[in-house]
Amino acid sequence: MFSAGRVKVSQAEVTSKGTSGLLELGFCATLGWNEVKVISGATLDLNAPGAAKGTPVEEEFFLYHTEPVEASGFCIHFKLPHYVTFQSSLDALRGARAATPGAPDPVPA
Amino acid sequence: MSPITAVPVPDAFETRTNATFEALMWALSRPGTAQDLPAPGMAGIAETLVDRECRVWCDDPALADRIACFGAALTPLPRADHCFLSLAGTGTLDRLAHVALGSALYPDAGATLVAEAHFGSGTRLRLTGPGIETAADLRLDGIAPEFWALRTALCRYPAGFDLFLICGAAVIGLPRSTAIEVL
Amino acid sequence: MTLASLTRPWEAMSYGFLDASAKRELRRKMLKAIAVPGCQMPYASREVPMARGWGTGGLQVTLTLLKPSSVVKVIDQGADDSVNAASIRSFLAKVSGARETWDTLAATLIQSRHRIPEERLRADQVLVLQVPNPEPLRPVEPNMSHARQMHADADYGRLWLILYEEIVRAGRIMQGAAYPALVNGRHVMTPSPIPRWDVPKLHMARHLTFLSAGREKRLFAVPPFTRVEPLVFSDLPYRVEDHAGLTCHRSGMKSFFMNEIPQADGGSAHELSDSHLGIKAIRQAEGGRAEIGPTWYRDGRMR
Repeated sequence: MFSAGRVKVSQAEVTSKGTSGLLELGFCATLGWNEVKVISGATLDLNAPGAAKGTPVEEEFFLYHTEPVEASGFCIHFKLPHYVTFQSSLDALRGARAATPGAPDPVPA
Repeated sequence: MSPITAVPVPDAFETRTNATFEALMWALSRPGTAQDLPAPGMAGIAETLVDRECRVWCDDPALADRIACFGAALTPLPRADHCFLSLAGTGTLDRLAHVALGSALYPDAGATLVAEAHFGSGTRLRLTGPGIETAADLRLDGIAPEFWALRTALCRYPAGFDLFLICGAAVIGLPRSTAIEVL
Repeated sequence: MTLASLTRPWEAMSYGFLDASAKRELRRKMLKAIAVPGCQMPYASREVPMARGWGTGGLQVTLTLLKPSSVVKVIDQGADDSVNAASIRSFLAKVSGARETWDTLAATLIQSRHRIPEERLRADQVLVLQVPNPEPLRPVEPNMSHARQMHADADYGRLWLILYEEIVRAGRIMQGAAYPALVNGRHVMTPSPIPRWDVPKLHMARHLTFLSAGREKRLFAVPPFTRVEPLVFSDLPYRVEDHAGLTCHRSGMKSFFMNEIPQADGGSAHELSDSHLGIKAIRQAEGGRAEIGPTWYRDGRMR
């Protein structure tokens, strides 16, 4: 056994209400320490699959709004607490679930 | 030289323009309720709002000279975003048709008008709209009586102009969102 | 005109950080925002010593209003003591000499990220809300020019449609925070990502509210006594978060908006989102002096 070296990797997970109406996860990892890029990548992963052309979650529009220098602060702001906004979404998800018995858990295990 | 870490103190200009803006802000937020300006007259309002990014129309040559010092361009009425004018005589109202009203697409292009009036006597008006809980009554003098119907005809919300009326060091704001009924 | 009349004495820094011309531009736009409630006014958002997305829009409005006698409160998601709230508040005090406070009743100027305090705001108070996305039409129309045209035409049909589709799919409206609302019967605005619990506090309020988005360079306002009506269908009433039955595990306060704290046993504990209201309640319970003002909600109901 031998070691060829070590690399630093950054990764981010973001969660939000996805296209399914349930909470979904987005993930991104890069080599090196890249906060803005992994957060931007993880939100893209969360939003872009299946996005219709011309919508704000489509890849082109999305990267245009998350990658530039102007948006770096906005991307890093996802590290700030979001418990109020998250609580509000969670309330709607739970309410919908309570109203339809047998519906999937909004918060995947 | 004083250290930069000292508690900042506003100079006279900053204190004056900050207080003037606060009066204008509350005047427009509570239409019909008079607010106190730090100094009487229109010049204080001009120095608070207007600079080289603005186009101004002013019918008082002395005030126009002062406004030019603030850097604003003096332009014909239709191009002006701030108008300092008299609304006293019926003859002064013809030009109102040329005031910039903006559009539904760009409501912010509607002009800000500043005029002299006298509060507490004259035409009785009833105001309703944002900033007013039910209705506000006030009496205004020094404005041509035909002005109010003309204003209603011109200001098709959200397009229109916003009006500040000055009486000494008191100011009343009449935003385009206010409906005005002449009693 | 002399050269002296056009110049000013040297200053190390403009009072309130922003220079005079930035303030004049903000003042002009703030007045237009009041004149057309809920309508987004573009402005030349300046660089401030803080990254975009951290409250730069709210900061510029607050800096324009600051004076030495101001008393400032800064909230981040309900809390006065979180890092961002604390650093914005100390910055505001440092550049203006204004007094800092945590107490809603003592404040003259409140800058907030996504909460409106539970204590009723007064006619002399100004609330400045930080806005990440000022455009309520973005989910249905990403093109800014088209969205502007839709606002001009009061064409909000597609916004109603997505709400209707949510009812069909999930049985209820799924919008969490940032619930769109019709202002003065004309412009739909996003109230910023405040919870649904807080939107009714803007309707016919006594205080003046500014909402400012620094990254998107737009600001809008809700003057006092202005109608702010969340978009709802007549047969499905507006629903705030189901927090009326919750109790704060630290202060014992009931029926306010709560944060949920996951517990080791899989359950949840709740604590007041408006952190200083909780602190005052605890002080009172311990026999200390703390005045709690009248609240918007009583027993979990808006009054």
